[in-house]
Amino acid sequence: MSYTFLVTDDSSTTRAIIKRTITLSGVSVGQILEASDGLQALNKLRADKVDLLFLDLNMPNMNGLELITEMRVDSRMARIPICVVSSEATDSRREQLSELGVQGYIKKPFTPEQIRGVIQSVLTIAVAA
Amino acid sequence: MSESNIKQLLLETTIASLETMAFFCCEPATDDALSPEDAISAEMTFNGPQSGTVQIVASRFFGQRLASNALCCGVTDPDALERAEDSIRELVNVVVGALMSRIATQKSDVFALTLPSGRPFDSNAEWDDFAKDQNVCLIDAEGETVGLRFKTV
Repeated sequence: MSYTFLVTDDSSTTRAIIKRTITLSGVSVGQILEASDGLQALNKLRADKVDLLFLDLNMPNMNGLELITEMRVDSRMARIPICVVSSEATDSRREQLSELGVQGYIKKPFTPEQIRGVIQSVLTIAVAA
Repeated sequence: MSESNIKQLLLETTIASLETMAFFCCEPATDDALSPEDAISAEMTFNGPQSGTVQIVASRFFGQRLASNALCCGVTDPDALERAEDSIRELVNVVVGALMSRIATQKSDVFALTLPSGRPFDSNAEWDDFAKDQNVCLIDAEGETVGLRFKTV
């Protein structure tokens, strides 16, 4: 089975680092889609089947929290696993994301091992379910 | 927290972020450090229990080095060339996030962030005033001068 990833971040550098890490993670990669804001991501989520979404919070047009809220009320997207990758790491933000059912939270700056860890744990849980 | 304390935190968080993001070995630089050539200024504002703007000034070449270290490509590789400004904007984003975590005193503290912005910085006209500002500290990142400023808003 190969997986489709969607990497959403307004920084092209961060998108490229995450894409590279996914490619080298050892999982079978079908497609790695990219979006530079929440609105672009929403359109891709509507058009493609995505197995894991890597999501920044602070972005133009539609931010990460707005996208998560949209996804949670849409039955086609509500169950897609989300890993937030953000520089924001205050306790209040972590609590808010936990309440929204976010599966992974990685604080920038991150290491490739953190990304790999989330890929393995989230996709293992998804396959088991 | 006083501006001088935040200035020290800004120095520490930037050095730590550069080491983690792009494997840079950094140390504080002296006030007479060389001004960055073909410079870029990136800044970002946060509002909350404490509010302020963080500005980072560095050369475009430093941005290329940031991108090339992070992406494991050559410094003149097109991937690094096209991401010079984006890398410096992302650095300010990461530094502000780290700074907020250190500034927050209550679990319930919430901050609102602007998007990081970037612009060309005129090293000849702007550097002297920038470097003299008491809120500015300088870093030597493996031979590249990086200027940091915190301003309360």
